[in-house]
Amino acid sequence: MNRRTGGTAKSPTSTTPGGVVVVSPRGRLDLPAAPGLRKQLMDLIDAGHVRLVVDLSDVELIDSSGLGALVSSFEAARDGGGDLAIMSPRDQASLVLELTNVNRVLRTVASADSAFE
Amino acid sequence: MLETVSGPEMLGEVHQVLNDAWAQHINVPTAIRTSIATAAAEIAANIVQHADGGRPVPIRMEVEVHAHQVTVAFTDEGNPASVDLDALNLPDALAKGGRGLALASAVLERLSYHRDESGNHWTLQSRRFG
Repeated sequence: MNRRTGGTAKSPTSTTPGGVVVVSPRGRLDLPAAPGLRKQLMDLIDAGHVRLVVDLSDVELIDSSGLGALVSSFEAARDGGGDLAIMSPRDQASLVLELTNVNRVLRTVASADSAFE
Repeated sequence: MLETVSGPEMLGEVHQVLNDAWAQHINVPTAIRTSIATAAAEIAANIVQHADGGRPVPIRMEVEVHAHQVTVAFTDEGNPASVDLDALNLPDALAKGGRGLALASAVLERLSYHRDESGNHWTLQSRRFG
C-alpha cells in the first residue's frame, strides 16, 4: 500500500456501449477517500446514470467508510430505478464485504457488460 | 512506531508503519497482514473521528511482531471512548455506518480498550500464525 490518501481526486470512469458507467477508485477507499467516491457516485445518479459498476480491482483496502459510500450509492441507484454492482474485489475487499454481509445486497459481477443483462 | 497528530492524513502514516513492519518480518502471512491493516484502519479512523469530537489529538502507534502474533497498540490523548467491545454487533447490510469497531473485532483474535491517565489505549491482537 502506498501513502496516497485518495483525497478528493475523482476516480476514473468509463461508459460501456450499453450505457453502464464504470467507476474505478484506486488505492485506499477509507475515511479520507470515501466521501469523494460517494459524491462522485451520487452526482452520476443525480445526472441520471443509475446503472453503475464500481471496479474494485485497484482498491488495496476498503474500510467501513468505503462500505458506507457504496451502500448509500447502491440505495440511491435503486431509488432511481437502477442498480449498483461491484467488480473484481481483491482479497481484503472480499473479506470485508463478506464479514459485514454487504455482499448480500451488493452484487459482484464478472464484467460491466454483463452486469445489467 | 508512529507519533503524530490525529487527522485524515494519519491513515497513510498508519499503513506506512505497517508496511515497514512487514518488510522487516517477511514471515507474517498475507492473511494476517490483511486483517491487521483492516483493523488498524478502523481504529485509526475511529480515533480521527471521535477522540476529541474530531479535533486533532496526539496519537501513538506501536507495532510488535512476535513469533506467532502481531500486536498493534494505539494510544490517543482524546476524550474517553464510550464503547462496549463485548457487545459489538454488525448493523444491517444496508446500514450507512456503524460497522467499524465490529469489523475490526471480527478480523482479530482480540480487540481491547482501556482508559488511564495517559489517554485511550486500543490493543489489536492478530490471530495466531506459524
